[in-house]
Order: sequence, then C-alpha cells, then structure tokens
Amino acid sequence: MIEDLVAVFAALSEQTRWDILTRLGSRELSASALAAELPVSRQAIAKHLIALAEVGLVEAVPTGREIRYRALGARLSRVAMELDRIGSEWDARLSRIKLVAERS
Amino acid sequence: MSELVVTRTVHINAHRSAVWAAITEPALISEWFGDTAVFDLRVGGTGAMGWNEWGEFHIVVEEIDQPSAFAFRWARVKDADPTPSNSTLVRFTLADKDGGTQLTVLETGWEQYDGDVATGMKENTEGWVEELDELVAFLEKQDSA
Repeated sequence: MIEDLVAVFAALSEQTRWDILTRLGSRELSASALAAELPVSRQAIAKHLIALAEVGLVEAVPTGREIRYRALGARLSRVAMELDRIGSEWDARLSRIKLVAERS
Repeated sequence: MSELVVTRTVHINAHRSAVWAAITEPALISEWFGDTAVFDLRVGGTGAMGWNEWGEFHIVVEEIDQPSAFAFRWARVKDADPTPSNSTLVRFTLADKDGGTQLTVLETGWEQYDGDVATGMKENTEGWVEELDELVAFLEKQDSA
C-alpha cells in the first residue's frame, strides 16, 4: 500500500508532470504537441510521460502515425481510497479510545 | 475528496484527563493501537508500538501539551527509526465539548515518504494538497464524461 502511494506521489512530484496531466485531462496529446505547449523539450516530456505511465496515471493511445497520451483518473481515485482506508483505521482506533476513556 | 491529510474526530463522554491518559499512557495505548506500547513520554522520547502479527514500529514523541495536544511520529517500516521518508506524524488534539471531550486525530507527512519524493515535493508542498484535490475532481469528471 505504502509503496503504491510513494510511486504515485513520486510521479507527481514535479510541476511539469502536473502541467502534463492537466493538459492530458482535457484532451489526448502527443509528446510533440505537449512540448509545443510547455516550456520543456520533447525528450524531457517523453521521460515524464514514461514516469506517469509507469504508475498508471496516463496511458499511451496509438493514433495513426503518432502516439498520444490520455490521463487516467482511476489511479488517483485509488490514492483517495487508500487515504480513506487509513482514515477508517483511525475511526476504529478512536472508537476503542472512547471505550477506554469512558470506562475510567 | 482526498487530501494528503487523514483526519478523524470522535466525541467521548469522559473528562479530558481520562482521554489524555488513554492516548498517552503506554498501558492504555496497547488497548486500542497495537498489542504493545513502550516509550518514554517526553518530547524526543523514543519507543515502539508492537503488533504480534506485524512486529515493532518505532516512534518518537514530537509534542506534549497536556491536556490539549499529543503528537508522535511513527515509522511505517518495521524496526526502523522514524525519518521523514519512512514515517508519518500522528497528532491528537483534545477539547472540552458538551460536558465531554472532542478528540481529533490528524495524520500527515504522506508527501515525504521517499528521498526522491522529498526533493521535488518540498518545493511544491504549498498548493500540493489543493492541486491533488482539484486534479482528482477533474480526472473523475473526465472518467465519467
């Protein structure tokens, strides 16, 4: 679980990757198209896309002669779910604290 | 919606001193957290929470403001001393409410889990939580569109 979160956080730890995800959220784009919109080289964009794809935040979509990328929401929802799960553990612990404190 | 903060609150029908004891006394902590709790109750004090099934997880007491706030950092890796990259911070706050006590827990530090994350993340910590929130919201919208 933790490794999972770490990978997603690490993938999102650069501003450029947020910028890439933001743009891919509105439409599918190729690395070249992203490079035209962002102040980063195509090679750098390609590296960021690989990092994002590795943790499941984007996926490649072959389109004609080029490869476009699209953002995937499911993975981030998963992070939200993990944090919810950790919250549920606290709900259970707080219930037990309540029992301990009210007993005295 | 998610933030990189986990927080929960509970109302307890007991005096604050009883709640304070429940969250700070090792013998009582072992009734609601792990199976064992051994630590030195002073700021900077170290120890461990133990689970029969999972092993020992080291902690460091970060804050003691009796009877209002208590915080410790706990390693989420077995047998390791807590560092920003392997641990999260758990902070309890207590307040009198409706003749009882309102207890809130806040668990933070998810962003710093790993040296690589820390470097990039520290520069971006401000706004990160909001950004994640917004991003999740809009990506979910994309998903359902």
